Amino acid sequence: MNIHSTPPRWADRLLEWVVAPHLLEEVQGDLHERFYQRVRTVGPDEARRRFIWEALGFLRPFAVKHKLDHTPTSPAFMLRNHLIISLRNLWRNRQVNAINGVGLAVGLACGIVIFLLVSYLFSFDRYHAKADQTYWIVTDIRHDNVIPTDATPRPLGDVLRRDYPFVENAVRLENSFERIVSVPNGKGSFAKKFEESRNICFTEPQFFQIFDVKWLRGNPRTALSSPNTVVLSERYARKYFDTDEAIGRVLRLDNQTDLTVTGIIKNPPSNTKLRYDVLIAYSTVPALIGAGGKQAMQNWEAVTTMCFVTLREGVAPQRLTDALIATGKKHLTTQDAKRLDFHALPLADLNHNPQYGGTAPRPILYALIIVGLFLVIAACINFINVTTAYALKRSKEVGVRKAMGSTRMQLIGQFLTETTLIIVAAVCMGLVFAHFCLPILNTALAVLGADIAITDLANARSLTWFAGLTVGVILLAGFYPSLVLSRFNPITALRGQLTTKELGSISVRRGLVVVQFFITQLFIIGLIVMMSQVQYMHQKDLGFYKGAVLMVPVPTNDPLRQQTLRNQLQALPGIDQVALGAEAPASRQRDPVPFTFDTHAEPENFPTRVKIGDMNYVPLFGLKLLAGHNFRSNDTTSNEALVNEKMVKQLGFRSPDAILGKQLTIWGQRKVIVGVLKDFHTDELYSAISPTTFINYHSENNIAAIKLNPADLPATTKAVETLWNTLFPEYVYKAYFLDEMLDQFYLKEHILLGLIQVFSLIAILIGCLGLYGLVSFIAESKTKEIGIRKVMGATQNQVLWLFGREFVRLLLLGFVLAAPIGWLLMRGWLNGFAYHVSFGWWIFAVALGATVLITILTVSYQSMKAALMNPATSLRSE
Amino acid sequence: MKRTYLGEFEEIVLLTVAVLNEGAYGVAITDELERQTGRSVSISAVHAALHRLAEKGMLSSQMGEATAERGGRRKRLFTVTALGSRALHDIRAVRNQLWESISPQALPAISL
Repeated sequence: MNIHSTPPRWADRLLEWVVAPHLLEEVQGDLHERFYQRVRTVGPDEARRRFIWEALGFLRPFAVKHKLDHTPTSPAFMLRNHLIISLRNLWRNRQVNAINGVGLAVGLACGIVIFLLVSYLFSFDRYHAKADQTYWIVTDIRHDNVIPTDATPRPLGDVLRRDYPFVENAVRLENSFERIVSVPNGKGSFAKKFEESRNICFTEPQFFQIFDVKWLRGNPRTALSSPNTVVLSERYARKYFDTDEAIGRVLRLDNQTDLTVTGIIKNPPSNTKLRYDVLIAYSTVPALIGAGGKQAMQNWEAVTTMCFVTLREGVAPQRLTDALIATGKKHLTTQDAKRLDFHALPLADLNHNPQYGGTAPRPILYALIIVGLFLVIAACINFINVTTAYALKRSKEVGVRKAMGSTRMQLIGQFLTETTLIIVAAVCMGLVFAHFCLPILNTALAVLGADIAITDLANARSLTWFAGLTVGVILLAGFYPSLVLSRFNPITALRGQLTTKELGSISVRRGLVVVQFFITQLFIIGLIVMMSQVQYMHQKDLGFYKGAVLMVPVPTNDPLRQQTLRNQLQALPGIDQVALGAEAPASRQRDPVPFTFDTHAEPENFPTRVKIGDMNYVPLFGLKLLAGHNFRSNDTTSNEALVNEKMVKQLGFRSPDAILGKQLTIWGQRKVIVGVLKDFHTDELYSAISPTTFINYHSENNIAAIKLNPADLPATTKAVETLWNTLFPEYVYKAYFLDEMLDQFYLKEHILLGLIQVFSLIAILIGCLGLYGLVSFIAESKTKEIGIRKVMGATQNQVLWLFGREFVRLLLLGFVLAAPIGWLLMRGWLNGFAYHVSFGWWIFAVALGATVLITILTVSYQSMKAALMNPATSLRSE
Repeated sequence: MKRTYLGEFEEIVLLTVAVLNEGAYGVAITDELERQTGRSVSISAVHAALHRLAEKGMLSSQMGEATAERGGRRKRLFTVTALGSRALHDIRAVRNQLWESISPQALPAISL
């Protein structure tokens, strides 16, 4: 048969290439049959031409190969097959898979917890229907420095509401602290009494129009419209009256004003800063102030009341800003207009401005998100490492599958099914872990009244995020291993000659381990710095005695009753000393007071902190006098004052002695400086020591500091309580120890440290799992190499160094990345404290040392096993 | 009654398979079609129609014997299924019914 009597090769090839395999045989057969018929009838040339033409005719949809489903098996069938095989495989390697899944689950649980925490902290006061249109007015008071406050002058809200038509509504709200609420029993005495702080406020009926509050009983429009009315939350109605049908019942405020209950609302949710259980009519305020109450309501100088403004829809916030400037110019004196600076902040920012009392500053939230991402990424990396390391064991399976005609897509499908199964299991486990962790988190965040639950995920936004996370993890953690596994060349895989090269470049896995080392070391550096700073704050000498000092309230400014309290306390056994005053030597920021020094006409350009104390105050707290003497008597009409070193310096005096005998005027009272105190910490360690003045002023006294003999603390505190209750039956006893109060300053740091400790531990744990995965991978792939080395005379140490070299390099690389970033981050954090630990090199040394130790512990078992293996065994395998 | 739609070409191919009875495969069907209708038919169109009919369940097929002239490749032999037969009968019934309903004068006379 000459060449012309066969169909053209290329047309045949084309057919083989494009036509679906199950059709190819009949199609090609038919074409060839017709070709040979035609060779006989019309000659070879024409036959070839027609063959080509007819072959091209098969380039139509029914005949052409479809990339994916050219096999008659349905996808559902393949999926079922994948699932069965996957379950068998997972079961066979159950130990490894369990460790792998648990590692991932722990990482995901962290991710979930952080996600819930962050979205909780971001959800504050965003649920109000008018949240987008509502603004919060704050005032910055400008002295030498700027003091931000979250309040405004009392008349401001009313003026905005009346004078500006684009303001839809405005409400004023006054927070209240340490109020005594008592429930009269109808016989001139009380059934119950409570001290309320923070959750009690004075506000207007507009509150219920601006903020979403659910009503149970009463009319929201009229409930707070007349003075001496109060609205209670459900739980507080129960607390006071043991029933929520309390409308018309009466409460007494501060033992002087009767309040009638006119409404009951549902308990406020935990994600609002406006968490009030007792809302008293704003019009009650003037009567409470007493004489001068009317004027106080029109006082533009004092910044005392919170103000929220709702704009009409579509009004630009700039108009509100303009209105605030205009109002300031119109109503304030020129001096005050310069001093008071009003700002409008969106309601959603209520929780994110630490300077205005927000508890969750955005940088911290973003840092938390990054921590969460890091942990999830670390968990994924670990998963990838362990999965690819175990790929080696499955090379035979891949070889057989490929030889049987499995395509790469099918193999990827198989491995993705397996990883998806583990990941879905890990996600479920992660949800369970998170569920059990949340109560701990809620306890840690008890100050916020947090009630985060796993069910918070059940809303559209969270579900989207969560689904995204799951899919992301599947792709991130599942795709790479399946790509690597499916790439094996079947022949080498079946011969068992896979080299590390075919197992996916080791550099990818090395890169992943470097990332893990980086994350782990970053956490360790952060942990060390935070721990040492918190430790430092605990142990720092604040410049005063902070041992067994009990602080009890002094609920009266009657000098006689104060004197009785002091004398009777001093008479109790076990009490060393008693001092009356206004606050502890170190206390939270209280607004500093402007003062005039000496004979100057103008007030000084810096204000002073004023601390109140009697003659026992200085000795009790062990404050040191540098010059002059302490108060001479407890007579509060005396005009003596003490100042601290800082004050002396800031007033421009070289030596403390020089200032003695000079005068200063505070709160309109003339005082003579009789003594200078050595500097002690007047504030939290965030801020520098302030210039401070001590005066003895009985009407400001509100605490009694009692230095106890440490011998019998419980009995003495009990005795103090009994005595206090007989002296002040109408008030509520509430005592605390000085050191407890000082610890409260750093609650935020404690919570943060707690979180970082937990997360670092988890990061380290996950990192260890990843290392373990890598070292078993290396041990497995180097079995032969080690065997040969040992036969050639390598010692065990030399073999161990094979592993050591690998990890030392990765670890150092991770450290080189982590050290500068950790330094930058922690430097920024420490700079938030006026007094902080120095950032020594030892921190890096400890971080590196800890990582090395953890790494050695993790990799030693596998590498020792590899190094000790009898070369005869390792070389015989295969 | 819901009936699977058959195109004109599909109907002719189906009928041809019936005509050829045992030996209906691509080449034979194409040749028979050309002979019976006198029109030139591309073999790929025939294949497409055969597979469409098989998908619709009107044809079944099995692989037949291989011949040397096909380079050792087997033929796919088609047979009409019960469903296919039913469809052909239905079409014929409709046509007959329509022919019977045409009054003798309605169609212009043509010479055969």
